[in-house]
Amino acid sequence: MKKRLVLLLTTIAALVLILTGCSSNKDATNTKTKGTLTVGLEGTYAPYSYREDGKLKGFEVDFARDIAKEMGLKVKFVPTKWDSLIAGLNSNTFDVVINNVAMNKSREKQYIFSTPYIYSRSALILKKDNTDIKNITDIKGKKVAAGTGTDNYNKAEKYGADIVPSSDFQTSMSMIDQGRVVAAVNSKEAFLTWKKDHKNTDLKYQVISSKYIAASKIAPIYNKKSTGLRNDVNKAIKKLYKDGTMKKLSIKYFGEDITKK
Amino acid sequence: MWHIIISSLPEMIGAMLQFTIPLAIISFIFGLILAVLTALIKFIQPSENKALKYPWLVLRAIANFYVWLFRSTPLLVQLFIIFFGLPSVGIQLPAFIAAVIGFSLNTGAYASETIRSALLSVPQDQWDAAYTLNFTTRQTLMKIVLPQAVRIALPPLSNSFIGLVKDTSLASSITILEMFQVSQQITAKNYQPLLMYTLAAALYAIVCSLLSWLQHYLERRTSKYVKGGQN
Repeated sequence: MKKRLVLLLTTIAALVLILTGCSSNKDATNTKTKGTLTVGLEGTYAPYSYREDGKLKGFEVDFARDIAKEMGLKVKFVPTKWDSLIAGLNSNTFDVVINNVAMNKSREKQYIFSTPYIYSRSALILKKDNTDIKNITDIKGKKVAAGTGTDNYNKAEKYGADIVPSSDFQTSMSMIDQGRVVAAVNSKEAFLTWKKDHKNTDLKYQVISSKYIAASKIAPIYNKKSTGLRNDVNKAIKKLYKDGTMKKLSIKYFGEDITKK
Repeated sequence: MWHIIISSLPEMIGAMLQFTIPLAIISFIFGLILAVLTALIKFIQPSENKALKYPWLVLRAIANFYVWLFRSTPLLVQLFIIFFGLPSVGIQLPAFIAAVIGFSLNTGAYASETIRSALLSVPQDQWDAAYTLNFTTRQTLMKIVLPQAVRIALPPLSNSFIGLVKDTSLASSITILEMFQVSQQITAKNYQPLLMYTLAAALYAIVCSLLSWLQHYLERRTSKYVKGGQN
């Protein structure tokens, strides 16, 4: 009997501890942790964010560091799978997601964005010997890899593709290679970077003409409560454009300046 | 809120009937066949006959290795190896087949231990009594030991099956549009993770409750020859 009581009490104590640990801190500060900007990203999406020698690198990693520096904050990265990345904004897992997230209407209903920092053209990625897909309208009814809830998914859906869900960029490429899907809709930059590491690949890309899909505006995304933080980040982005940092970063990672309209 | 639930239910129940339940049932049937074979290989002692002894020991080593392998690695990793890994060595399987293979092998490994312990839990006296009556080993196993073992194995096997129904949600990671994947896709459009995932959880709970109810019914059926629940 005594043992049981002790067990019960420890269980309750553990639960209380767990639950209090879960409570979100609603400080008056703009960020989740005072003095630190916590950034959510995938870390499996070169050249935006990727791991090399155990370190996070990439355009968006440098970009986030520079923003934090402008704001006088430390930066902390939280690598997260795409599926739970945007949802993590609402659970306060991070302050902001910087992960090649495109602005679109349905996202703007639920979240808020900073000013864009990339103007990106989507591309169709397919096998070199694929001749029956000449532009995006040809993917109707064909198997196309796309990440659930990505803007590319919506584009592929719009043109009637039969979508096979993919969890990250490498998985999409593998599935085209293996013939499980005929194509993927993704960023041209991501494909070019991937190709550097896969020189013998028999995949190619085709830029999707802007008459079918307008260029995406890529911007940091926050939950609706973070208006203060968003405004601070906007100021920082403005500064980075002014002092040439954006252009420098873009050329370093993409070989061209894609930070301008 | 209600209109979101009502509008997404058909799609989710559709995915449940199309993938979640068939995946669980097909994998469980294959898993059970594997489990019985594995359990018998580990349970039956090698015969004195030399010609039969060594092949049996090899079989036993294979069975031991299989059970060890699948019980000591995560199911998610097994699925990834089968679906994303094997194409590198030229074995490419459709997602559904890969999932069935993964779930069957995994369930088989766990269930084989359940069946083996059920066989072991039938008292030695029963074997001795059967031999006294000139039963052969095969007859004893088929007519006396197995019927009792089934009754003992039923609750833990039902447990495995219910576990399997829930584990099918892992198939979402190898591109199968099962119920959880569908709820993720709807979430990606309406940004209501709490509502959609709770709805998915509720649907899993309903299916598993029905299965538990079926388990109780089967337990009652198999216990009808038992006096006071003791054998």
